[in-house]
Amino acid sequence: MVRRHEVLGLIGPNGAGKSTFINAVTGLYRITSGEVRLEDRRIDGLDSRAIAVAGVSRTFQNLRLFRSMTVLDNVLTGFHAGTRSGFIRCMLGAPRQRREEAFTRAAALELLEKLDLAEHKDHLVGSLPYAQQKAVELCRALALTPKLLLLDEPSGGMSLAERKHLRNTIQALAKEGMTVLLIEHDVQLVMDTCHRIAVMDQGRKIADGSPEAIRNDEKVIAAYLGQED
Amino acid sequence: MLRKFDAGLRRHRRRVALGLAACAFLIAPFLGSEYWQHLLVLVAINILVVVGLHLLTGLTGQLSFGHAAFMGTGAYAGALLLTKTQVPYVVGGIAAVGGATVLALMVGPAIVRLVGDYFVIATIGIGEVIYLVLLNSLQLTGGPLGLSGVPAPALGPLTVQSDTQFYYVILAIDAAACILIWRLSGSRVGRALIAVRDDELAARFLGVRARYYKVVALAISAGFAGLAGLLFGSYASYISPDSFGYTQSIGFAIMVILGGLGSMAGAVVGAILVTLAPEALRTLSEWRLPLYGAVLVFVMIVRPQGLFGRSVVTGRPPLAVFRHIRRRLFGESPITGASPAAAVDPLAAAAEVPPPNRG
Amino acid sequence: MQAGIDIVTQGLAVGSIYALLALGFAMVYGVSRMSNFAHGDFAMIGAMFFGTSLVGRSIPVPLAFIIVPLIAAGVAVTVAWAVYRPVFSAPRVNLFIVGIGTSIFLENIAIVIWGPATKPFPSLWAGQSIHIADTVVPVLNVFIIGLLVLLTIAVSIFVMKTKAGIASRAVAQDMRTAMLMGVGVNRLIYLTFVIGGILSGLSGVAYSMYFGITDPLMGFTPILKAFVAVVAGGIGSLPGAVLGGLALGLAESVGARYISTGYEDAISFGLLVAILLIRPQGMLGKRRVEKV
Repeated sequence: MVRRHEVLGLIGPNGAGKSTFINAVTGLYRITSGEVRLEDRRIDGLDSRAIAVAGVSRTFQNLRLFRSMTVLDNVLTGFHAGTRSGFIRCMLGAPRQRREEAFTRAAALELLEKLDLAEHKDHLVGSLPYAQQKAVELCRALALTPKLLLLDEPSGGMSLAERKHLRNTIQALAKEGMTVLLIEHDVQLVMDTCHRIAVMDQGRKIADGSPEAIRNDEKVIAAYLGQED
Repeated sequence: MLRKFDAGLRRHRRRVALGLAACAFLIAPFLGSEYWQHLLVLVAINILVVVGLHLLTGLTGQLSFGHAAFMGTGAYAGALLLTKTQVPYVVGGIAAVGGATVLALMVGPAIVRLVGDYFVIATIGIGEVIYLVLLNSLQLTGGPLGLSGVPAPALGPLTVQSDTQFYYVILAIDAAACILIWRLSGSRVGRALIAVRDDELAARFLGVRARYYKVVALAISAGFAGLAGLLFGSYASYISPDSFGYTQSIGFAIMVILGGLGSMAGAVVGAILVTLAPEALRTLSEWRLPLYGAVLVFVMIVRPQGLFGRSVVTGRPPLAVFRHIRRRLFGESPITGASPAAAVDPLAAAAEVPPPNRG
Repeated sequence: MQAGIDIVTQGLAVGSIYALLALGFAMVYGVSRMSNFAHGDFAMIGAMFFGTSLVGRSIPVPLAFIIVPLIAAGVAVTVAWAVYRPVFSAPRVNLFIVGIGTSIFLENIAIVIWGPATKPFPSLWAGQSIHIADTVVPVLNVFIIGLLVLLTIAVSIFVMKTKAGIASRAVAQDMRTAMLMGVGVNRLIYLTFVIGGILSGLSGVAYSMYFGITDPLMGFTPILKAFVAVVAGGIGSLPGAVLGGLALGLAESVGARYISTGYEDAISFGLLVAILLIRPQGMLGKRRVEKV
């Protein structure tokens, strides 16, 4: 369970089921038992779109940006759920659509500023370095003003400096009160940014507690190092 | 001084180009004889279809090889109404748009679930079915004999009477269509469509109702094609199923693809080129079509993104297989920056041809 | 009873024609993931060459049966090299257009060479039938079905027992691993085109023998039917392609009996759309899951 305004880390050895978990929670996989709740509302069984609209936003391990779009456009799509103009209004250039568009753009630019991406706003996302592409995806996810933000292995492929930057970003988000579930391989990153950590192994949760407690937990150590032969 | 002028020009480059194009379209009929007028009308009709197809294929990424089916459905719907009753032309037009749209709404929800290759094959199938239905419904459509006596467009007392008038009327409709689609592509919905094209899964995770948008895009593009079909019928004052078959569908697809997927200007230019080229090459007689085929192949190899398509940052190795290897090995998240998949590829998700996405 | 036998043998014969075409198509697709829109035109070329070899030449028929498929295979490999190799890793759209362009090219070159008219194809066993029990079965039908059986066995042996065949299956399942294992994917792809060309060429000959005509545009409808067959049998499955072809032939045969012939073709395409919507993986296909 992720408490509001906390950053919960989810770690575990490879194949522990972390990605499966996040995919199940976001509606990609069908759940066969148990339930998923978002603030008292059951969201299991809903499809990914509905879950996103309900306030759950995520980034992807393998980056799923819209490659033919610019940085700004990618982030603008993040605001899709919060706006309502449909085909007709958009085709006719109705006043409501214009207002929404102006508002959306302003909000997007603000978000880009916050993540230091504003100077790249009109560049194709594919032309950015990998770490910045990840930042764009994060930006896009934030555009949803989510109640819960799921980060799927955000530090993959990042250098040390980039990880530091990521850590700062997550800490800044935490300070603003964002509720985050951070799935990560980089245990150090998790230790630095999370209020609480859960550990998975073989598809089950084996530990749950503060970073200190987890660091010293026997079961966790055993899971990572394997059993004694 | 010069630099300021230059910068100003660049800023307005698009507007200048647009202005020039508009002028070109407007004065075109004065540039040639009767036969040229005829060609212009055909170009104008094809532009209408192609703008709709741009919405479906360029923006939303649904490659349709069966679009002539919508054109035919609309043509027959409108023409039947106009020839069998005395309704005003506008009502016939609405029937044409409506007929095509209804067809799209009937098949749409089902086929948009299909991914990549499957969708294309489905559109081919639908195109063939419609063609065969039109061909065999002797009672209703006159079958292979076609339907004649389709009236010319008329609004109140004014009737279109000459090729040139036809051209301007259809051009006006084209302009309206272009404006609508252009506005759409820069808007929230347009972005959503492009997002669905680029990565439907990610789009849905952002709250985009992918299936709904795909169906509406299909319906709108069908509507455009339907109206174009009726206008074509009015122009020729006769329609037959042979005008709405696989060959025509492929022709429209080629117009959009050669022009450059994702670019409306490209689609329009593609329509112009593909409509006029056969005429320009008429002197080659029987070699015209083999040349056409060869040119298609050539252009696709040499400039895969089409004329106005977004350029791709690649260097083509002699054996293209290696880039494929690289893509497969390193997946979609590039370690080296811009990947070849940055080109507009409506079927990229289908590289592995996953089964139809029921998500 | 005779009527029933007729429907079945006709259905199987036509189905065999589709099956051969579909099998060749599926082979190429299975290994390279490329849908070759020009596949039907290899069949047309086969039929054309066979036709010209029969009329007035002194090329004995058995020899023609060997030479013609090789010609078709040659054309197929040339197309693979000139047209498909450069677009192998391009966006899928390009693949389709390139295939269509090649198709247009081949069809119209055929018009240039052989003229646009539909020409009668001399039938080899005109009117001859064999008698099984109480029924009469045209020799032609038996021959075509026999051809399918023979070639299916040949392909099966290839795919199961030969090194190249096993490598092909490996590539079809996982190209990247196969490549890492040292499989020469390029050569295999050319090989599938050769096989596809042979099968396609023979399919064209069979088509012409059965329907008694050749025509430069004859490859058009059969390739669409081959699509249906491949989808019905399951994209990615070779036995599926054969089964799909046979099933389609039988369905058409039955349909022609009870519904007016104009709509016969519509049946196949309606079937195609229906299959895509209800059971897109066809009879023997596998579902693949997209990784997130």
